[in-house]
Parts: sequence; C-alpha cells; structure tokens
Amino acid sequence: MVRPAPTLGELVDQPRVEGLLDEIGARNAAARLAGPGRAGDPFYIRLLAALGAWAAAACFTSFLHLARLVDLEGTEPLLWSLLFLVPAVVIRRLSRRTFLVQLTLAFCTAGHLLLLWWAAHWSGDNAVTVLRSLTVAQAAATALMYWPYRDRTYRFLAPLAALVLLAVWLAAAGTDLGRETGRLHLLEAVIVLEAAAGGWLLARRPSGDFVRPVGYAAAVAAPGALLLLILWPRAVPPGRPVSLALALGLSILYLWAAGGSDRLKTEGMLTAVAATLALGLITNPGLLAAVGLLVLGYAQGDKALLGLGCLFLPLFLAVYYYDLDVTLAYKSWVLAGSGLLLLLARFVAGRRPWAKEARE
Amino acid sequence: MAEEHNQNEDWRERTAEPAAVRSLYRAGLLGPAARDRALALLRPPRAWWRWADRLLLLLGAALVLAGVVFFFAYNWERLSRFLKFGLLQTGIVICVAGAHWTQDRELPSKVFLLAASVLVGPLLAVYGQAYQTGADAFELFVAWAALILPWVVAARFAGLWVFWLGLVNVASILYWVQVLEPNRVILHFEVLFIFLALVNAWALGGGEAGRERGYDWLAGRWPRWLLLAAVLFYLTAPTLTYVVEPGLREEPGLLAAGLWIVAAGAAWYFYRRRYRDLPALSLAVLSACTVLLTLVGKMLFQVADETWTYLFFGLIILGVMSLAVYLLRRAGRRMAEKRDG
Repeated sequence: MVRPAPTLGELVDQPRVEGLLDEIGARNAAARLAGPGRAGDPFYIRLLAALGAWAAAACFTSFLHLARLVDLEGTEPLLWSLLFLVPAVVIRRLSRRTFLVQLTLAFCTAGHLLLLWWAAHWSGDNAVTVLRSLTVAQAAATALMYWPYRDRTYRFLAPLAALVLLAVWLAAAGTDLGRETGRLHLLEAVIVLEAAAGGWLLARRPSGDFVRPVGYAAAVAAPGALLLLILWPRAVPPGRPVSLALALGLSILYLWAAGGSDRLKTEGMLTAVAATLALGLITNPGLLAAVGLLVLGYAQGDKALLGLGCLFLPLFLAVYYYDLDVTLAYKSWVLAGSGLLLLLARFVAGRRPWAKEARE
Repeated sequence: MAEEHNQNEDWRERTAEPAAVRSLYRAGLLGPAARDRALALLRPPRAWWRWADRLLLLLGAALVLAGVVFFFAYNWERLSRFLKFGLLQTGIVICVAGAHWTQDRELPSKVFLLAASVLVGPLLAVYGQAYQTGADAFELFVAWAALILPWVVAARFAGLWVFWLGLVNVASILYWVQVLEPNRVILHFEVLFIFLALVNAWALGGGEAGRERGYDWLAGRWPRWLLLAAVLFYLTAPTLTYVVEPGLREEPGLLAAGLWIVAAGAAWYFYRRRYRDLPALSLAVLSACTVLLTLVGKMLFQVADETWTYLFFGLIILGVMSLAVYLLRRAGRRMAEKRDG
C-alpha cells in the first residue's frame, strides 16, 4: 500500500529536521510558498515571456534593416548589438516590472542576433568557418552577459544556444563539410562533458539562480547533441565509449540520490549500478541521458527535468533505432534484448526483501 | 493576527514536495543540512524503488514491443500469412492473459492492455494486406478504434484513452483526406478542424466529469493538458485563417472563430475558477495572444507605413505578452491562496 505523501508540517516536525525552522522562518516560508509570483515563475510562463521577446526582437531588427539604420554588410551590426545589450543589462538591474523585463529580454535577443549576423558575415563563405565564428561569438557574448544580466530565462537560453552552435559546428566540421573526423570524437567528448556538467551543476549545493540555469542548459544540450549526431547526414552515431561513460555517470547519480557512496554496499544499489553498466554495453547513449534526466528530476521533484526526460526517452527510442545503419534483425534483437534485460532486472529485484518491503 | 496565524499554519497543510523544500532552501529559510534531511525523508529508498519499478516496467515493455515491431519488419516478406496472423494473435492473447493475471497490480495490468491494443493495428494491417480488401487507410483506423473500445473502457487507464482518441483523430483526418475532400463533399479544412475540436472537447468534458466524481485513474493532469491543447489548436488554426483572409472562408471560418471564443472563454472560466489549473490556463492565454496579435498585426500592417509598423508591432507584442504574464501570475497567486485558505 502506498503511504500518502507527508505535509510540510509533518516534514519540519520530524526529529531530524525539527528545530531547523523557527517561527520567523515559518512565517517567511508561508509567504515564500504563497504562489508562483513569489517562488519564481513556472517554466511555461517563462516560455510565454520568451516567445514574446523573440517575436519582438525579430520586429526590432526588421525595423532597423527596413529603416536603413543598420548596414548589414559592415561593422554596424556589432555596434547595434552593443546598443541593445548594454541598456538591457542596465534596465534589468534597475527594474523588475514585467514589461521592462520583457523589453530587456527582447533587447538581448536582438543584440545577440545582430552580433551573430556580424560574426557570420565577417567570417566569409565557408560553412564550417561561419559556424565556428557563430559559436565563438555566442560563447563570448554569453560569458560577458551572464553575470551582469540577471535573468534566469536568458541564463538558460544563451548558454544553450552556444552549446547547440558548438555541436552543429563540430558535426559539420567532422563530416563531408569539413572532413575533420577528429571533430566528431571531440563532439562525443563534449557530449559526455555536458552530461557530467549538467548533472554536477544541478545536483550540487548550493544551486541557485546563478548556477542552475546553466546546469539546465547543459542537461538539455547533451541529449540534444546526441540527437544531432544521430540525425546528421554521414555522421557516425556515438558508440560504446560514450554509452559507458554515461552509464558510469548515471551510476554516480544513483549514489548521489541515495545519499552517498556507502550506499553501494546495499544490494539494491549494487543491482541498479550493475544493470546500468550492462545497459551501457548494449543500448544507445541517448536512452541513458534521458534516464539521467528522469533520475535527477525525480530526486529533486523538478518537473522540468522530468518532462525533458519523458520527451527525450521515446524520441531516442524512435530516432536512434530507426536511423541505425544495421539490419532490422539486429535492431530487433538489440531492442528486445535491452527490454528483456530491464524486465528481468525488475523481476529479480522485485523478489528481494527490500523491494517487498517497499511495496507494503 | 488571526489571519497571520492562519497563514502560518496553512503552509504546514500543503503536501511536502522536493520543489517546495528547494524553494525554502533558495530563500535561505532552510540550511543545507535541513534541506538534505528533508529531501532524504521525501525520497526514502522505498519511494525510489516504486519509481524505478514503474520506469523499468514501462521502458522494458516499450523496448520489447519496439523489438517485436522491428522483427516483424525484417521478416515480413519471409513470413507466411498464417505465421503473421498467428504471431500477432498470440501476442494479443498473451497480453490480454497477462492483463487478467496481473489484475491485482494496477500498472502491469494496464500496460498489458495497452500493448494488446497497440498490436490490434498491425493485425488489421496484415489482414488487409493478406486478403487485399482494398480498404482505405481510414477504415483500418476506424476498425482499430472500434475493436479496442471495450478494452479502453474496461482498463480505466487515461493513457489508453488518449491512445484511442489519437486513433479517432487520425481516422477522421484520413477520412477527410481520402473521401470527403477528393469527392468534393466537404472542401473546407475548417469543418474537419471543428469536428476534431468537438470530439476532443467531448473527451475533455468527460474526463473532467469523471475527475469530479472522484475516479482515481483520471486524477493525472497531463491528459487534460493534451486534450485542451488539441481543442485550442483545432479552433485557433481556422480562426487565424479567418483573421488573415476573412473573404476566403466566410461561413466555416466565422463558425470556427465563434467556437474559439467560446472555447477560450470556457477554458479561462473552468481552469481559473473551478479546477484551478495554471498550465491549462496558460494554454488558453497562449491561444488568445496568438489570435489577438495576428488580428492587431493584420490591422496595423494594412493601415500604417511598413517600416515603423515593425517597431510599433514589436512594442505591442511585448505589451500583450507582459499583460498575459501578469494575468497568469496574478491568477496563480489567487488560486494558491484559495487552495490554502
């Protein structure tokens, strides 16, 4: 029988937590938990705001171009980008009014667009060179703006854009466009680093508004880059080293969620780690990345991470195996084998005393 | 003082969730030690096992099912007609038997029925291919939906209902594409979209009624969001077409626009006052913003000089979206107060 979830009152009255929240803290907690306006907007409201800012930014840049206020062929886009970015920082620091916050987000977006336009135009005609310039420009702008521009939406989107451009550049350079095959291996290493960084930044404490958004960006960029590598024409899908690295990272995540490495001594944890490492040998890395998002999301009660995990899981199941350049027979055995392994693990683990106790 | 005392006590009645604990930690009201202890209490080993058990079941079943599909795809040409039928029918029988044997365990039983329902589609496809029935694709989906309906009703599983509605939607679209439009019976896509909106709205209304009567299996909110998104999409698209080109599709477009106003208004009322669901409310607001900005943009670009219009329109977009965000925040706060009060 599933026990009902405890209330906050029951939680803070627990002997191990009691005394850590005094009366003043309790009153402030009431105010803090009063609603989304105080505790921070849910992601769908921030998405709505971001959509409006993007649309407005497109209108502002169109106006500049049609009014011939900016010569897209020269260095004027770079100057205009500064004219957008600097006021965005100043206004954002001075005001928290909804309209002005959205205006600054639109300014930021317009500033980035003009900067990227300038970088692309400056770097010539070669696609790989253009992508490299875009990546460097976006990364530089993000690094300069991250601390002064205090907006969680920006702090998520700007690093994400830089990481996406990095993945696209490395994929383009590593395939027929660039023929630098080492770049694909570098991209695989980047994916593993992104997954590790995302997991570490989101799991660490403290993980506030400065660090958490870039953690989300890394957590989204890793499976996104995996998907890119799978879908990119003539690219080789990531292989076993990436899967094993992610399986190892996932195992470390289990230990973190369970409360420490000494949990490895417990049978349940040993089973989970062994099954994950075995899965790392036969399944695709995207699946492991998606499971990592689910584990992190469940541990922290983070619906955004859970939603991303639920989104990437079927996507990887469908896209990876559909695109895999092996026979359908091999695909069917790998898929069914992976599935049976999981069901077997569930069956065996379910017969253990600790699992039976969990069901009571 | 009494109100302050009530507010002080009200938060204690709220269900403890890790997000709330993290929120208190970020506000500096809980230290790192208290946060870790609270999170450990909320996610004890038994909670992790229950979650992992569900994940292993769903993921394992999905992988095995996908493997079966690929196996069939590989061996399709080589399998005899009877082997194809036999394998699929055996799969369905195993799944139904599994659903019956695991009746005492809710989730496995429902997953088995879902798998059985999925396998009916390929069985019908094999039948159509083997006997060259000449049936249109929509007929396959209609038959699929009709055959699995008893399982859908018996399973009391929201996921299976959504799957069934997906089949109904696809069947309707294919019927229009393959029969109505080519034979010039109904040419306007608006009519199809209105029909689909009504079908999904009926399902949404049924789901809400079931939830009000306390059916546990309808407690999850994701089917509501999915169905509401479908209803709003099916009505917003023809409304936008009518706004942009009113002369092109006068009557069906006007009807769609009228129904959109009713749907958006009803969504605001029900999800603001009655069911207090902020994500659902956000969907309605997004739809309203899209239609409003399309209307304003069209009027603006028709009457004003194009260059400066972009600047004004950009500011109008910001104004409308800021208002939307403000209304949603205010609604969220008031709904939270009513919930705690």
